[in-house]
Amino acid sequence: MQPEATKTRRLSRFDYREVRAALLLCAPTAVLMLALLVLPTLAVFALSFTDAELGVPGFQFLGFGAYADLFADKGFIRAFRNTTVYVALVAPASVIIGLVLALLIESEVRGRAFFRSVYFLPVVSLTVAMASVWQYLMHPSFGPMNLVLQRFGLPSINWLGSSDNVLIALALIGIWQALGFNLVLFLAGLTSINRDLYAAAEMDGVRSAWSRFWTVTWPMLGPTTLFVVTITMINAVKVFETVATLTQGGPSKASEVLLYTIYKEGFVYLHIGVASAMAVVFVAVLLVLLLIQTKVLEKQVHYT
Amino acid sequence: MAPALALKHVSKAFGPQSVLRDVSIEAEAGEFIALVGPSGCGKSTLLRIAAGLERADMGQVSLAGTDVTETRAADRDMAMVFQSYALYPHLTARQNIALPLAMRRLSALERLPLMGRLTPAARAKYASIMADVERTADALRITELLDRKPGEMSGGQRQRVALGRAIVRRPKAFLMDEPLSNLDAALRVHMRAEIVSLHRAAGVVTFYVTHDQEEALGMADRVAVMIGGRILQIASPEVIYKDPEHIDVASFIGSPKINLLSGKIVQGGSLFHAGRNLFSGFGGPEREVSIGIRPEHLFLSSEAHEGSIPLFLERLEFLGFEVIAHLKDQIDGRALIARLEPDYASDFSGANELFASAADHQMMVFETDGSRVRAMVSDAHEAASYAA
Repeated sequence: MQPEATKTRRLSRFDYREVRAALLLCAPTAVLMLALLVLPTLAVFALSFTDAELGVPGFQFLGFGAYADLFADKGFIRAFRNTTVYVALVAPASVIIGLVLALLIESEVRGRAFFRSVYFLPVVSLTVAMASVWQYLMHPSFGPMNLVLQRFGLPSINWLGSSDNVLIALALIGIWQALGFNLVLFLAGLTSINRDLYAAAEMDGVRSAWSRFWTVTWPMLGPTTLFVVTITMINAVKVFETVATLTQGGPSKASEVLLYTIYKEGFVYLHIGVASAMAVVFVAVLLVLLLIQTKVLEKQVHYT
Repeated sequence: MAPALALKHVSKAFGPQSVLRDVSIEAEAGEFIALVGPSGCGKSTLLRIAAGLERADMGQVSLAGTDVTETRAADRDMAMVFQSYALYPHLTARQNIALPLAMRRLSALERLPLMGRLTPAARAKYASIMADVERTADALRITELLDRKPGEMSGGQRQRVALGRAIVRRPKAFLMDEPLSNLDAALRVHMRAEIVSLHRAAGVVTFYVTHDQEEALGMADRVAVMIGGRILQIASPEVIYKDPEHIDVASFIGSPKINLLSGKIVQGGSLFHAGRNLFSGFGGPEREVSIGIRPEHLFLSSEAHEGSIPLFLERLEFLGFEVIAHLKDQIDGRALIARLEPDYASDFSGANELFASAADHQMMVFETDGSRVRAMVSDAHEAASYAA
């Protein structure tokens, strides 16, 4: 018994030193993560149950009542609905147009690098700077977009100034922004498809480009498409810059979106409690989108 | 009768790189032809041109007497098996095998997911497709795999499904592009036999591309040896091995490689190697030649004979059923290899110096341009040996 006991003790002393070294090595990262990520998140979560206001001493604990208030707030519901409409316009359009353009560019060797760069430009340009260009393009009286409409005898559209059109106008800009990124991702996905599959499809009697797309390209692009859809939706949910620079949520709150509303509550009206509750809802929406990707759809696009 | 599959004067270049130079090949109905050659010899390109997946710059492809040079692959009615299997990963084995039938027998409308089973006519077609798939799966013994996707199968199983997809619609020709290269050695030997028997059962002309000479010799009715974008020889496996027309064919086919000795034909038609007269009967002027002797035809002895070549024995390699002797020519220092029976090899185990000779008709003489040159005497010998 004696030797075995010593052995155990020696091992445990060794273990202890191992554990201490491991903890020491993890400590800087752990502390930083705690201070910069976990604590602020928890603070936001805690504040979301209160009516805290910046500069006002003391606050009341409202519990889930804070969330009840939030969902009873017409402004928030409106922002939620506007964001949903915006995502529903931007995500499908930029994914489908991105895919179609990628297929066109892929089918022709000449000019591939040129078109790829051109469509990618909006991704790397500053949205705030580009917003002024869009403001000009969409100007109701001398904007080129309306001049084109007039040329074809169509009525002018008050793009950003009418509550009926403003979300569509913002969505157009959103599509323009997301397109290049989606296109580049689809191009990468297309080049990774095994060429033998197209040869096999041809031998199997797949004649039209249409059948070839549905037999080979679309199924093989599954993982890419899923990734593109998720990224596009998350980015669309986070729309902020164009709203802040072009419309400030107007006219008459027709372009209030989640992130802009959070910003206004938190940084303009200094309603920290309300802004925190909105932020929690916002993060929950993003998490649900991510969960749908990882848990549900992943299984359907990876064939192994 | 017109050949079942023929390529005539086919040339192809990729940019400045010429991959096929005036290649012609004709296959009889039901024939199994192996295209064998080192990588980059153009054999896969030739197959893809036969399939219609690649356009030839010049030349003609005909299938059962019909010129199909301008016909696209989908309309040529040939089936191809790929090295990568090229199965559709999102479809089950059943759907993979059914796809070529569905593309040919069903209309675009009937192929839509649910529409296909609406009308009685479509239902009947669908049932016949499924029956054909079952029958093919039965022949390949993959019935229990039918509802699995390729990702859930082993390499050998995928290869069977790929074969199933090729044979299910009874095409006019099979084209196989190194179908066994991705399998492990044991399975490869097994699948060789399987493919040969499938081919016999189907009786369809087959082009089989491989870089493995054993596969080519073991499976094919005729072997086409391709090197540098040309078919150097096309003949039965036996003739390819025993009677190569070109030095590159002789050195590509056979393992260990054929021994090549430097030789000289002198005025009067005698063949010399290192000052020794080997045999006579050649025509033409005095010139340098190469002499090829297969390792199993090199006869070793510890004593010198007339015309025998003095060698140093470097090493004996014991392989069980045979012994490989690594030798060096005493005069020009060239490495030679001889294949010996194990019993007989033990006589040499302590030896340092040996003498090699070979029967006249087993020495193949090649000109410096690689073409074969035959001696009158040697020809007579050969004829006699074949007759016997």
